[in-house]
Amino acid sequence: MSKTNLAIQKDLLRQPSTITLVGNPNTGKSTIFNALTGLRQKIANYPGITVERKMGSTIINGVLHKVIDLPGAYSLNHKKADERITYETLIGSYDYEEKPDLLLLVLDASNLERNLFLASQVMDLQIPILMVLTMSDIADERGIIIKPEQLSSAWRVPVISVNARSKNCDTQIKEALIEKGVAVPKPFQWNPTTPLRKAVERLDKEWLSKHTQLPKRARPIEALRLIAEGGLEDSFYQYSEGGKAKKLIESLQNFLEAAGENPTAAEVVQRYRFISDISEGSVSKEHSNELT
Amino acid sequence: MDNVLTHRVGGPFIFVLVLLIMSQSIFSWATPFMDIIDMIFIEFGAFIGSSLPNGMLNNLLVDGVIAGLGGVVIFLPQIIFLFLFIYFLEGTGYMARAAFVMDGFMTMVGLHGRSVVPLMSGFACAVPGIMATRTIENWRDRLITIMILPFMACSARLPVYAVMIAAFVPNKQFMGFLTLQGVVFFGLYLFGIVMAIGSAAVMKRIFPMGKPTPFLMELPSYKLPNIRLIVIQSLERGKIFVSEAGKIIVAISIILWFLASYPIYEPTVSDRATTDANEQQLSDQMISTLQLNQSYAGTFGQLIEPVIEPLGFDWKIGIGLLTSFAAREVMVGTLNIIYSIEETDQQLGLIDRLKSEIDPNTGLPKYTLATTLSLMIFFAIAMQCMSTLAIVKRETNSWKWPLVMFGYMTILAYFSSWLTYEFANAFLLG
Amino acid sequence: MSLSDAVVQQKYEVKQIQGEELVRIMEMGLTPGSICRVIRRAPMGYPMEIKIRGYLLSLRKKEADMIEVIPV
Repeated sequence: MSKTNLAIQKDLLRQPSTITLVGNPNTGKSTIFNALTGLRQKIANYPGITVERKMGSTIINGVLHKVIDLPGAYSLNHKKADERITYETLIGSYDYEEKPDLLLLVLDASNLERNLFLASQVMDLQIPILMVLTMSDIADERGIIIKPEQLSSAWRVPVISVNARSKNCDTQIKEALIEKGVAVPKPFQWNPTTPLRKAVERLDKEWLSKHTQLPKRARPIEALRLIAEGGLEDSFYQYSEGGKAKKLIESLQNFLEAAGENPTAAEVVQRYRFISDISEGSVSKEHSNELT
Repeated sequence: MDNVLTHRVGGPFIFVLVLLIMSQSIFSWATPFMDIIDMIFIEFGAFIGSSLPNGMLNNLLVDGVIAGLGGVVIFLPQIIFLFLFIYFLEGTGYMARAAFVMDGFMTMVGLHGRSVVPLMSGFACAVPGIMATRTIENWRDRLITIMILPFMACSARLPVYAVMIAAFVPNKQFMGFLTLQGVVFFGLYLFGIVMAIGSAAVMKRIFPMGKPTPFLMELPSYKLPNIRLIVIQSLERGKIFVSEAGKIIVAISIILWFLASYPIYEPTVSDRATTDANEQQLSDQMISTLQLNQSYAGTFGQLIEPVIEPLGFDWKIGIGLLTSFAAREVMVGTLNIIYSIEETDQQLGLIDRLKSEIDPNTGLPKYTLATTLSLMIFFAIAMQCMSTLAIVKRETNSWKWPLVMFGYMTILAYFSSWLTYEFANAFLLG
Repeated sequence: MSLSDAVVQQKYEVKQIQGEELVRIMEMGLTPGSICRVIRRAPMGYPMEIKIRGYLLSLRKKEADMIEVIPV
């Protein structure tokens, strides 16, 4: 992990790689996918389920890259089939999808707080990212001015703002990938409280790292989910020694409660708290223009 | 904008208006394209038919493969036009508002606000309707919508209803300003909707719940849709239909062709002798009748006669039930062949022929109002459409659901027809 | 009071959420302490539309019942 402010990587696109689009529904993600791939796209069902896989290709600087458009998601919660694909693809454990080499994290600028919630979870997974802001025009109309540079320094990843509807949207993104590059975000930028951080570390160290196949970078996210919801039975992994895990999770939940935190809400509340704090720097509402 | 579009009274009204405009445009825009496609395939079939030597290969290509491909491509105009509309409405942000406005009504019958548009599309054709259920996020709601969608009286049922009603429902005045024929016609539409609602209520109880996912629907901000994206996405839907459902449809078409064409009928001298030279056309007509009657399809019709007899059907209808699996409207064509109706004015000829058909055992007219009602009810409910099954397979990504659909609809159709026949006999004749 | 009893055009502060799948509701931004405004109700009373964190969200009665609010 680089200690510099932005851990920029620019040489990633010299060889064929997989560019994966991730973001909330209604963000213009499909528009960007279509702009990048045009007619070089293929839609088919993922095996055994009814979720559609959108795959295409794009050429950047003469190199052909795969482009995957993941199903839109509001969080990395993964109980539904489409969410599970998004989650498992991101952590690289889904056999039927390419592991992402880099992510285009698409955010609706007119709805930034909720969009940043998913973004903050995705960034915990430490995959090289370029943040793509869409719909800045709608945000402008509402008097919400978003400064990409400030968002970039807040989250320590490169950020561009594109008009997904413009004809050269694909060029804008390609140029940004070349010039700005991508960066591996630092995990846990959202300042989890000390008790929560401790609980995650313990669950990871004492159980997830020993008894699951989860890759290292995915374990904190899974630990957070287990602490919030329990839900070992919902998990898609073959946990061994589930009984032991259950006891451990319960004791961690009790530990959080003793520290004055609601274990179910702790993660979500803290992420949103951090997002609204940080937004005050990078977002300015010129006038309160309530939409109805 | 939302003050108007999601208004408590105005909202539903506007939505119905949008639906009407949508259905009407799809109908009037798609029909010319469908006619052109139909013509191209008929001409192409005739061209291949006349340029290849007669024989099995010729028949297979013309009546099996080309007819099957035609049966696939014919759906494209409706699919593409429906999706142009859906992606447009989705792109503007209106679709979520429509779901918001309709959700209260739809949850009463166990469905989702987003079920409305697919169900309404089902009145044109179930195939694009089922493809449109993709906008329903919740899998269980989506599955139930798919499973009840074929009850919507699609346009392929029209010719069958029309022939049957014209032949057997007396053209009497009803309640002063309506005609009995019109009322029966409307009744069949209503019947489909009632069956759909009833089935949805039952399925809501049967289908495994899993953990309920909360209903949290975002109402995205209004925006100008991206026309290029809409066009690409709609064409992509058409491509998916042809490449994924198309394979199944062509395969079943070939099987159905085989069942109706084999074993090959060899005309005997006596068949020829019965008609003189200037009735050569009738003779050809007779040959195709005899061919169909003694084919595997014909055998099948005779085989299932005991099973369908309680519904008031004979083996001739049995053949029609098998062949109309290709598409419901094929029923009319099949009956034409079975009854050796000449090419000119088939519909009138068939209506008269059906009316005059005499039951050899009783000496009474064979097709009574009871049989007609029973057959129409059967057509209103039964899963008589391979294209629908093919798209259900694609959209649910499993053979399980099309099979469940076929099974439950056939059983439901059988018992409804049986009840109808018994009731009609008891109250209309007895 | 629960959000299902809320009045249109009023602003409310979310106090707490109870029931199954409450994490999903919070993930949409309805966290304790957040402020929401009831925009309107659908023709049959539900779903109801609220504005939360600058965007519009609709919920059915079941979800609204789970959310405890106080008027602001």
